[in-house]
Amino acid sequence: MKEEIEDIEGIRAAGPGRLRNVLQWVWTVVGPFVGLALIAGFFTYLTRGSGHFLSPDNLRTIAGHTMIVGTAALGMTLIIIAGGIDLSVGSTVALVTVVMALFIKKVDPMLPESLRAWHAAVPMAIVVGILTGGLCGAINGGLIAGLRVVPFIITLGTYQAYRGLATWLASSTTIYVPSSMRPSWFGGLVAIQPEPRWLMVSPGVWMLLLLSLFLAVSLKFSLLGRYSYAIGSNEATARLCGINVPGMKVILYAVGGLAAGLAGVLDFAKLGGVGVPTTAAGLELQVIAAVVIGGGSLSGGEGTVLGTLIGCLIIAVLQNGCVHAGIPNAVQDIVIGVIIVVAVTLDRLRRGRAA
Amino acid sequence: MNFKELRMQDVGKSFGATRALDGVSLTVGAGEVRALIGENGAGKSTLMKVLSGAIRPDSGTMTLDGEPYAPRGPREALSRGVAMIYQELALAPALTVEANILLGQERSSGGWLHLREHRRIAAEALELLEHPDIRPEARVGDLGVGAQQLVEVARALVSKARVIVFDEPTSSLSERDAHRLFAIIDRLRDRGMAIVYISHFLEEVRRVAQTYTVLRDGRSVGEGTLAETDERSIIARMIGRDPGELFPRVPHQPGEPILELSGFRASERGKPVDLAVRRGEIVGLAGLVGAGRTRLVRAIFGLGPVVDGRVRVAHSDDNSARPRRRIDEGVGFLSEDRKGEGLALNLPIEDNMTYPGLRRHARGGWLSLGERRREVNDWIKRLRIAAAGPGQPVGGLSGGNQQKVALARLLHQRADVLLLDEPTRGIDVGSKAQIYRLLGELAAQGKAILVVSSYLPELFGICDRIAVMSRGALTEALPLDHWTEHRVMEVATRGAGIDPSSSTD
Repeated sequence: MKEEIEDIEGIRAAGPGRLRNVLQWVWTVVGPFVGLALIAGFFTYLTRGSGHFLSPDNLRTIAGHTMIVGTAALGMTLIIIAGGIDLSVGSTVALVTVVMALFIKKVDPMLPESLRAWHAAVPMAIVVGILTGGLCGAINGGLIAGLRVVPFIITLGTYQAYRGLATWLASSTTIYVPSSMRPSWFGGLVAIQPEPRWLMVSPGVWMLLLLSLFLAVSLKFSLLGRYSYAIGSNEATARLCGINVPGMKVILYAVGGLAAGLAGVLDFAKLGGVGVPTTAAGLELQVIAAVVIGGGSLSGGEGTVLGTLIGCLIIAVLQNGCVHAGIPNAVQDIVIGVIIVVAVTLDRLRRGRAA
Repeated sequence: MNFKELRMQDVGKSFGATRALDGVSLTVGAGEVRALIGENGAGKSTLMKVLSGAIRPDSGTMTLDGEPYAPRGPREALSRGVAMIYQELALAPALTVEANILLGQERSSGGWLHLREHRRIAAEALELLEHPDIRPEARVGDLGVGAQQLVEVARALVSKARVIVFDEPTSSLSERDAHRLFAIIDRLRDRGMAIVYISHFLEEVRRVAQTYTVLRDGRSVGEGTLAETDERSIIARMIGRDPGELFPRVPHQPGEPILELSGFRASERGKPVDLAVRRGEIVGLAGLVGAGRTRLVRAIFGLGPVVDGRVRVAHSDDNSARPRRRIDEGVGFLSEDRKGEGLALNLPIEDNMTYPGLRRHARGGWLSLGERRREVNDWIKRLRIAAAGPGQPVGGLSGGNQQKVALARLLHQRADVLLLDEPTRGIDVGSKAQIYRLLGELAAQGKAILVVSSYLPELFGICDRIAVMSRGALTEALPLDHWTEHRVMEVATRGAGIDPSSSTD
């Protein structure tokens, strides 16, 4: 039937066409890579005397350093794509380490001897830790959707509250899990030198890569992914199209929380099985920085998993490179701050040209 | 100062590939009211922005009495004596009338305001408008729209404006306020001011203006004196063809009722609404802006509260349904706010088109993108959407093509009841004609269509029945032969606080 519709005015400018779309795509995807390459090249040059910077060992170290930030950043990517933000990530990680330590100490003695020999309390604690993170996220999402207060404020509140809860549960001290309750493989999860050697990098890094792949595929091919972009681009449109926006927010923040929970598990392993209520302070800002450097927009609707991973690497390379070049910590922080501003400014310029 | 004329010559302006203004020439002299007539999307608002200095033209010249006029912003425009009265009033509602009139033109010494002088200046300006009844110390937010508009005019007077541009000033006024405004414009003209009056209501243009310029697709396509021109030839110039072609009639037959409202109220101050829309018919909702039409259709779709009454869609009876439920029942809604709500501008066409019906392409939460793309391509072809491809962000399309994407969404979701809120606002004439024909075809397929529009010729051109809303009350939906445009306007403004005896001549 619609074949009959006359095209009276003729076709208007059909938009910029494919070429510009392709160029834009190249810039978006390749841009962060170029940034990473430049920074890596810069430090290779600075430390050319020692030649250690590009050694396999050091690359392994850098990859290892992205584990915790990267895992949490995957969740943050999803949240930022949907136009939100989560400031409570660091506090959630701390809470998770404390909960895990308390759980193992409490449950391990209650288990029958056969299970204790297998350190069965630890896998259970891992599940409990991840779920704790998920619960924290679900609470964030529930409050944001239910109270209709902006995510920044809600998670600023839970940022305080979760940290407080962690400190309170831990009675303001560090909770040590006796070494008899810790299996030997647990530390290996995050060991920079993996066992067996053919893994090349830490198991935690492999896990991060697998999860990244899963999230990237989900963003493109799942309802959840598409709905996240819709909500982040224009929440009113999402509502109009029958998307259950409040429900989606609870799910998104809960998924973000699960990622933070997993980051907490990794941190717990890295700390050597210790619950530390003060750990991961400021982690949320590193995580947000990684997403934003990778092309995520805090106004929502934009962001990619690949970009986020590159963002994590850029931060890790900067930190590692500064150590190798003997640049003091304080200067490191300044450099990272500058990089964030430069990355986002470049992104804005790109978009300004595109608009 | 002895002001003679404002002259625009061959003014052009492009945004990317879109030529918003393509050689516009316009002259308005002291003591003249020139109507600038054109459809939505013809370039009127771009022209306004050029005049006010909000944007700078790419080509052409503007002069005031022979002196070059190229304002770098509204402030400079005002200092040269060119003032704008925008459709959306630019007032600070929390401030007093007096503060608003002198906003940006405060008299002060050493940072301290001369409040007594302010009071005098404001009172003088209001006196000049013959409205000393508006108190300078009243809060602007407490005034009616008509009075607010006068405050804007007063502000222009205080700035010693010589040229005043009115942008569709009556769009939210009651009939009485509109007539007051016309009297004031007459007075300003007699005082030697040059007035540009933008509107597409020809009746009103005849009342207030002497000369006219027609704008279409960014070009001035005709001008002259109104006394020597008939309406039909102006309309033909506005739309670039015979009016009959704009509203192609596709024959369709009404069937059984599919959307029924009884005692339906969408707000506390709304009156109970009864309305039935049948398959295969197009029903129009006319009324003034703010009469409650948008609120009504949003409430039907579940985007706004339902205070009272019943909605029946097909056979299901569910008053407080959310949009998801309505979509599943076969109801589609097109928002009047295309950019703010209707579309996610930075997302691709295919996403925008398929959100409500996305689940259809999903198995266990995973999407079949190939299947979806095939359907989207099909709709792009059938609706003749001019785009680089289904992956192009919707924000890069022209208004008409954006609107087609928004409409295609309802077709993709397989809606049987279409609730369309201002479906042709801000789009070019060609797209309008295509959309009108599409609506006719959809009705012929047995879909029920409810159209909210503030553009009467459109309602008369496409609808089978029209109902008029005034202050939350809806008349019966009557066939077209029961209505004239004049009668619709009368009913629409009747409830707006005017006495019936003062209706139009």
